[in-house]
Amino acid sequence: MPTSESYLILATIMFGCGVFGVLFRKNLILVMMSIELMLNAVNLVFVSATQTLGNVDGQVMVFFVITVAACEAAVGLAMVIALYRKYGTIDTDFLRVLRG
Amino acid sequence: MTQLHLFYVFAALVTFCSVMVVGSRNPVTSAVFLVFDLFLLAGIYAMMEAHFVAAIQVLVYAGAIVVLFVFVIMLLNLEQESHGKVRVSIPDIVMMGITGLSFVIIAFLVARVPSMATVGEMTPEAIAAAGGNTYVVGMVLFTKYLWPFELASILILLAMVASIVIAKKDKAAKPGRRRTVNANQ
Amino acid sequence: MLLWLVILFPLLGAALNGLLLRKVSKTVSHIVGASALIASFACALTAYMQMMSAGGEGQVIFGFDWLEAGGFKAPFQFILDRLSGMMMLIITGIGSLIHIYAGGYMHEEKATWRFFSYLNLFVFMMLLLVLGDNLLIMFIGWEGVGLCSYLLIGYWYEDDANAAAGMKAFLVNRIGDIGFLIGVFLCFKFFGTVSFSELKDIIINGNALTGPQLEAVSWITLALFIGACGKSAQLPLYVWLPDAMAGPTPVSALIHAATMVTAGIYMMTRLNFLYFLAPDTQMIVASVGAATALFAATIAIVQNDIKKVLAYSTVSQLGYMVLACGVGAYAGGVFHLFTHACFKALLFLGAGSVIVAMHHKQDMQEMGGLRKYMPITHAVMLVGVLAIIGFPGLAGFFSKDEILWKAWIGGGPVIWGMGAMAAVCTAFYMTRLLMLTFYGPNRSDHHTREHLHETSAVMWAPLVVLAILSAVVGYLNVPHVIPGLPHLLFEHYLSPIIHVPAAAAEHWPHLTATYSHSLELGLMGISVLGMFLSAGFAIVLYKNGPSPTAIKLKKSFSGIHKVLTNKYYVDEFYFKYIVDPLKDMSLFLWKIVDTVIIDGIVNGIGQAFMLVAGLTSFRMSGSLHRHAMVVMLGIFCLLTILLF
Repeated sequence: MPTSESYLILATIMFGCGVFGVLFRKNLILVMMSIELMLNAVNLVFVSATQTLGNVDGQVMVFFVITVAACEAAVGLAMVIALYRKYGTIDTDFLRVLRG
Repeated sequence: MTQLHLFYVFAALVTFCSVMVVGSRNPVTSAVFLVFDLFLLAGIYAMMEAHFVAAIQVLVYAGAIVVLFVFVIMLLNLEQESHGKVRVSIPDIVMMGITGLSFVIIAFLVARVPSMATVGEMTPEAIAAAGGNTYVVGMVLFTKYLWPFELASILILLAMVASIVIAKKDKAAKPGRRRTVNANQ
Repeated sequence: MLLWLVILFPLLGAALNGLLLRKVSKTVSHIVGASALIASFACALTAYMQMMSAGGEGQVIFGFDWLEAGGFKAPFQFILDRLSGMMMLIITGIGSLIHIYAGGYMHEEKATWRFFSYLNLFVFMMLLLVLGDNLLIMFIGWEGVGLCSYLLIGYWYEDDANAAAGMKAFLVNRIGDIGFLIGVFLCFKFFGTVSFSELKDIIINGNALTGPQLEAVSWITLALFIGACGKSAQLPLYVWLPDAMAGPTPVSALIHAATMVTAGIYMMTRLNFLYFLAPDTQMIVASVGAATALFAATIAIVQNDIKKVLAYSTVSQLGYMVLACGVGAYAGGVFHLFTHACFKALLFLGAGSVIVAMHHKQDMQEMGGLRKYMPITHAVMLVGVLAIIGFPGLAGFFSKDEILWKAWIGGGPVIWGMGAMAAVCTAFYMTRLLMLTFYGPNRSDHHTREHLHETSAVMWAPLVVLAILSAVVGYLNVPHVIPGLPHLLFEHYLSPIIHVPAAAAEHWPHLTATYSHSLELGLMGISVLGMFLSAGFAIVLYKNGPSPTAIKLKKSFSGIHKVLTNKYYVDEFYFKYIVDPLKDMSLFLWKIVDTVIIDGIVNGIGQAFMLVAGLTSFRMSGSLHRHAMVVMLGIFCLLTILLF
């Protein structure tokens, strides 16, 4: 049996990958995929915690996280499509409405 | 091959796939690696005897969400990112360095977290006795988390309506344009 | 239950006319408006009879819990006793007659639904004012009648002067209302209640008042009196009433003669136990009343507009009522209120008939000789004039002489003298009005003369009823000195309402003392003699239009005449010393304080932010990644701190 630390470290690595994706990829779809990665890292922590703590609530949480992730993906991708229609690109270098 | 070895193989593959998701140039490649990633995680969940989560991981995540991503990628017919050149500025490099450093720190901190003792009643034996993982999760989901469950269903409905509204073609802006098109015909 | 109907019928009429019946014919809105009032009057009469047959004890009718905040309670409840019952009958009774008359008067106007809707709403508000059991409900009515008055004065709003007159009435009343509100607040602060019945309990039956409470009573009564000054057109706030004549004549009759302007007198009578406790305030009240009576009467002498004469006459008569309240003769004041409501409504409506016949000309110099053309109007106006000048045997004689007598014993010879002088002036200007309008040669142009005719029955029938009332109601309160008739019925009727607190009895010895009949008779003789002389003088001067003597008199006293014609320059004074400085100050506040200072500060803050933002905005690249990175960094810092 792997130790709980090994799960945590794997989750940290996945989360780190996700963060890098969010921070350094210019494609909005890739940014969203990275977010999915981060969510999965969290799920992994939840499930490993259910095992170590002997409590299945964590798995229920994973269920909710997946639900929210599905919603997020649906709405987010809809927004990506809307953005693409409006600006003709989903490259974040060109989406600078917030520029001061 | 023990379960531990299997985990290490899986963990190595997960790491590789995650890096590929973030690092590949073509979004479709990223999506494919994301699917692999999710399948591998499902395998890890199964090894942890979290069968229900493993199942919905495959069904919902790999089956639905990533397919959605692929659809959008196809729909937008995206070129490769950033017109070839990736401009990395000095602040970006500084930031990358800081982020990486932070992760090293966090990894060390995580390693220092003391092992948690098993405190709950739901040991693998107890779960097996109660009728299996799915049964136990279902019991908790429909008793203790009934209201959040109902709220989640409302959330999904809202997300559905919202994504339709956001993604549908803007009718209000259309008529003028359509009229001119008609006039040209 | 009946009482609720009394109040709801006018509201229903107002709602029907105002909301549903905009498009229907004038006849329908007239019928709806008038029948709402008649139904209300019928209910009022029944409720009043029930109350009186049960012994005439006051009843409190609970409606619903209304305002409750901490220890403060003001339930929505009504009080029906001898005073409010009588007021209710006056309002609905005379109101009905005026509503019937108004159908004829407004026959040629458009949008009469608006007129009847406002008029019904006014009656509703006035009933609230009169029947409310606490100062707050009274205040709702108080403001409500002010609003309706404003709406009706400005009924012909296309004319700027009318709209301005409405606004003037509203604004001047506002000054009084501030006084009223302060009075209400003080009352709550020092007595913990604003209910009339509870206040009465505290003062009549409760413990002796503490020092601060006694002191507060003076201020409460004074503040409320300022409110009364505004509503009842007393010096120095009377200026709105003459201008209020811009409204249709039935409005002048109902609101600006019979009902609304008497609200102040009603309020003081309702709170008589408080006013008895404040002899200082009472002195002020009596002086203001006497001064107003004389002041307005002198102005009325030289006015040529028939409605203006009546308006100043109203101010003067209200002065009498306030004077009566000031000397503690509340019964006398309310009795004069009653008789005045009858004969002043009659005079206004009569004048209205004349105005209609004259095609809305109001200048008496162009009238004359109308007796031939309008015999019924002439007859009723004659009764009205005789009633108001105090011709022995008619209503005004009894009520006015009662007040003058109480003024002598309660206020002394000076107050009496002012009242008597005002009575002499009244006799002069009312006789002058009668002579100029109905006697002598007709001075109108040919076109108008051709169309002169008696008005329709819907207009003269209410006049006849009012004339009969004006002739007979005086016998309800015959003074002691006249033998052979039941004495002072009205004063006995109202006595359960009047409470002199034991603590204040020493200040009011004349209420219980007995006086010699010869003194009272003598004073009465003097005022009647003065009345006859001045009326006779007016007949001599004006029986054939303005006689050469009258013109000569005007020439030789041109200085005084000019001052009187210009109403003592009060409006000019107010404009110069109050309105214009206020305007200047407002301009200063607008141009300097608001535009330069306040806007400067506000815009300056905005500009400062813009400046700072401009200096720092180069950091805002708008790049999503930068923003996300900063967020991430923050999260890592937090995590690091948490995990260490």
